[in-house]
Amino acid sequence: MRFLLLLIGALIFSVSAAVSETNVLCIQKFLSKTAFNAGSVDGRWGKKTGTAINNLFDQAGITEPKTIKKKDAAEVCKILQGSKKKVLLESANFKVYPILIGKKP
Amino acid sequence: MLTRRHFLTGSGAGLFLSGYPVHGFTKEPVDGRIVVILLEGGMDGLLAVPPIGDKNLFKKRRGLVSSKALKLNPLFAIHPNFRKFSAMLENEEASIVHATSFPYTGRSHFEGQNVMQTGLKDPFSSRTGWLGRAMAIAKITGKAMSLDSPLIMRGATDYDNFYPTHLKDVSMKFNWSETLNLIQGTHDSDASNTFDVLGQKQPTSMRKWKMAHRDPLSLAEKAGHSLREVDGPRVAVITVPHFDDHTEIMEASEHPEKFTTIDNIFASLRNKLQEQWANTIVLTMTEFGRTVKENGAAGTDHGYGSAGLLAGGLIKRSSVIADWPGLATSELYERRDLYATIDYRSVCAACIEAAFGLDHDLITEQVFQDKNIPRAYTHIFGGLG
Amino acid sequence: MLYNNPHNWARKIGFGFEPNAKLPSDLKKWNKNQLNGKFQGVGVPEKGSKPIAWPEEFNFSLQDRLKRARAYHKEAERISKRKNDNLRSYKRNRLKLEQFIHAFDAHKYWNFAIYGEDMVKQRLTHFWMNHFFVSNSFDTHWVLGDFRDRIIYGNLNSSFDKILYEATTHIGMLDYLDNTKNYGEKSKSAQWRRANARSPIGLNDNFARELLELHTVSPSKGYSEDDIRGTAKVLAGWGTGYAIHSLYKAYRKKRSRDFLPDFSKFVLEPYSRRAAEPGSKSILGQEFLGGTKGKNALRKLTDMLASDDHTAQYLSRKLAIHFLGQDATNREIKVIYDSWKKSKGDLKVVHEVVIEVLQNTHAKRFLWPSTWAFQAIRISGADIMPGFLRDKNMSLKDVKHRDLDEFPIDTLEEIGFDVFGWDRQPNGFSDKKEDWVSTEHFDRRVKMASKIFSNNPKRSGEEIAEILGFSDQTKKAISMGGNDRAKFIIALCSADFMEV
Repeated sequence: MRFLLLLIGALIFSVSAAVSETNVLCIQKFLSKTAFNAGSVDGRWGKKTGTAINNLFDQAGITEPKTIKKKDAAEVCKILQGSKKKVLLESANFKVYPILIGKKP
Repeated sequence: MLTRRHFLTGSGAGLFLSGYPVHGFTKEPVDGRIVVILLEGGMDGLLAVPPIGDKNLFKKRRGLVSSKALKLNPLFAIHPNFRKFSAMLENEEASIVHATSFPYTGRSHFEGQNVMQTGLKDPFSSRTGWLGRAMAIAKITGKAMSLDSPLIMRGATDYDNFYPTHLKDVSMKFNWSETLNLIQGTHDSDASNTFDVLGQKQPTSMRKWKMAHRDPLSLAEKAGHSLREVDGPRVAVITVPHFDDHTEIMEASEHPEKFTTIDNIFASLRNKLQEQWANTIVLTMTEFGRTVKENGAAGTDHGYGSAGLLAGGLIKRSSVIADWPGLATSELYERRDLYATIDYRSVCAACIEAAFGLDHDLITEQVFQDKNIPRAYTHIFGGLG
Repeated sequence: MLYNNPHNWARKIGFGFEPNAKLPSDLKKWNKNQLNGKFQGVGVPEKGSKPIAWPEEFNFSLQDRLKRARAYHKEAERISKRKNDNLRSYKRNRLKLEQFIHAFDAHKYWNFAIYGEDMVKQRLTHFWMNHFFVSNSFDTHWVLGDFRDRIIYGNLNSSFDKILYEATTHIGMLDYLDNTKNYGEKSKSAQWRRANARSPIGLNDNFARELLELHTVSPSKGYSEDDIRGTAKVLAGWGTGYAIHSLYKAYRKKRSRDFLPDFSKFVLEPYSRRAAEPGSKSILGQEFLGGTKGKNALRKLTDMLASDDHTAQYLSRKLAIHFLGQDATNREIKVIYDSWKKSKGDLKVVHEVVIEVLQNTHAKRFLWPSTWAFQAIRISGADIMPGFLRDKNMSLKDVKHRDLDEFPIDTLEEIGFDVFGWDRQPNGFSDKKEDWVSTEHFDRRVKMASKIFSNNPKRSGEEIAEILGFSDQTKKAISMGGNDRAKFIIALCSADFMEV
């Protein structure tokens, strides 16, 4: 019984890991078409992927999720593939660095 | 210390939430103005806007970074001679596009200048310019502040020149319009139209003490006046030559002096356009940038990516727009030039969209004849959220 | 056909015939003489006077020019140390008026076109000067006259490889395109600077690029950046380290060290071994040796470029478009190209063929403003050219730069052909009609025509239309002009006159 539970647990884990990897891949593939560099498109959530997607959402003015982490990958992937995909892609063509002369950081 | 996330966030600006219409919809015509400043010779974008946050900048061109460059943000600074332009940046009415170029990598002035003006990828493939084609579509008139009709404006159905003569001792004892009308009839097509337009103008004054100045700054002042006229021109083109500084580029009389000229042109236009400044976009362009490394004569040679400076009331939020490629040798174009990661035609298209109200798809198809030009409107003119 | 009207033929290939000119009875013979004959340049000593032989006093050798440049700068340096600003400025301006000689060159340019017998050679000179364009800049104005007379005019009947080499090694060209600052990175000069903690010196590719792009093979050859770099290495040492205003001084300092020949020979090939890049270089698949053979490498390179097929194609097209017009047919271009290839760039042969092709062409050329102005003045017989004598009692030897009216230089600038202007791009002036069509350009032509009319033309607008065989439509337009001035202006600004 215990063995069966372990097996089911492992199965669920591997499925969710695969799903997670798929979502991360989805984000990375999207980023690869933009000016926001996520490093390799490998399905692994790393610092570059996190920084890139957070920066993209900041520039696009999307405030939810607040600070994107790996656990948010599914939600983010949904947004990226949703109705606003085209507009998002366009806004991410280039990066916008604000001018900070005379402004507080 | 600012995190990368913080300094990318503007003042909460939401490009995504800008509420701008998506592609394919026809816009309402806009009563905007465009002034193009052609920088002939290849402006060194890295000298104008040094990427001080790139660790390779000082490794590659230590001698070519002004010690008094004004810091704009953690990544970029601007040459100190752009004093007035910097004030516009502070005032949220100017922006910079960096690591940009027209899609031309051949490093020839003459091919590059042709591409810059026609807006097409192949040099010498058109007798009209991108600005002229846009003007024709939008049915707008313009004024070239030069003796010749610059290629960039050809194709417009209605435009004129301004470059006052200093020819001395000329008798005007003949009927100007009648004589020119008769001359017109002996020519065909463009020449005929040109004589026709000339015939309708009052001849410029021949008195010595009224001889107008013809330097780029004086011409910019005149352009500013003209663009305020009711039913007058809405486009002007000014040329600033001599950017081809293969030697001693940091000398005061070389690039720095030209930077001051550009700076003064921006300020003069702002001053003279007055209320029309709010509807205006002024942009610089150059045929290519220059090599990242200094050459053997304290100058730089022909390169690829450069920077474009923009200012005008149509800009709502100042920024540097870039997809920064980096200055490590492996990141350079052919291991020598700043890569151009932004097609400058995107910038030109955005300016046409903002000033004339033409749709981006229409612009790429009919003005630049290339549907694959990314839209940069929201980045340059996106505004506050 | 053009040949039917000798006046129009002379306009097509030269500057037209002035009133009272003896028209040639045999145009073929005239053509031949124009290309092969020896001519004496002429100029008008006073406005309205008859032309005289161009004074020898107004011809300056390259040596003389360089010595003058040195004297001027030496004196100017001395003046700059003066404390009184106004006096300093006055003295410097005065010195300029005393020493400068480019006003002589400008007067020569105008006089030879308007009054000279060798109009075809003058037109060919203008073409080649534009091809090997050297602009007035900080110092090049001292030597431009020598470049035009000795290198361009003097080589019209030689071969392209010769004119190319001499143009490439002229100190004016070397200075204009920054080769005076093009040091070999491994040169002795560069090594010395590194060893002595001086700021580094090295290559710059300005001249190398233009040599390939504008002067010879053109971008159609598909040369690489490595080829340009290699060319820059071969060019290093030529004029390098010298400035026009100090060439004479530098030569004297180096003479004993480098065992250079006398100055008159040195200025013709100003090569510095110390600044040259050692070692072999590769350009377009060919190897060029350095070391003691380094000086010869440039000749080898220019010969290679001169004989390249792309050079032949490029220059044949350029000659056709310039003389025939933008509508020159591919067949016409090919005839010129074939003659180039067959004669291996013998300019005497090529020019003869250009003239032959011109005789039957239907293409029309929109005249450069300068050509237009010279033709307008010459054909009308107007006395617009200021003389070079301030007063009758002056001796030619006493004429200084300040005595020469600024009309030639100023007028060329005004009509948009500022060949004596400052810092133009090395691609010279356009042969395309559309580059000369604008309201401001045409405004200048109209006003220039009026100015010519004010200077005693011997032919009216109607007479010009008659001798040049203008169309009936144009003749009618002229006849409707409000007064004689208007008629004259209409004639000179008509399509019939502006294009030929």
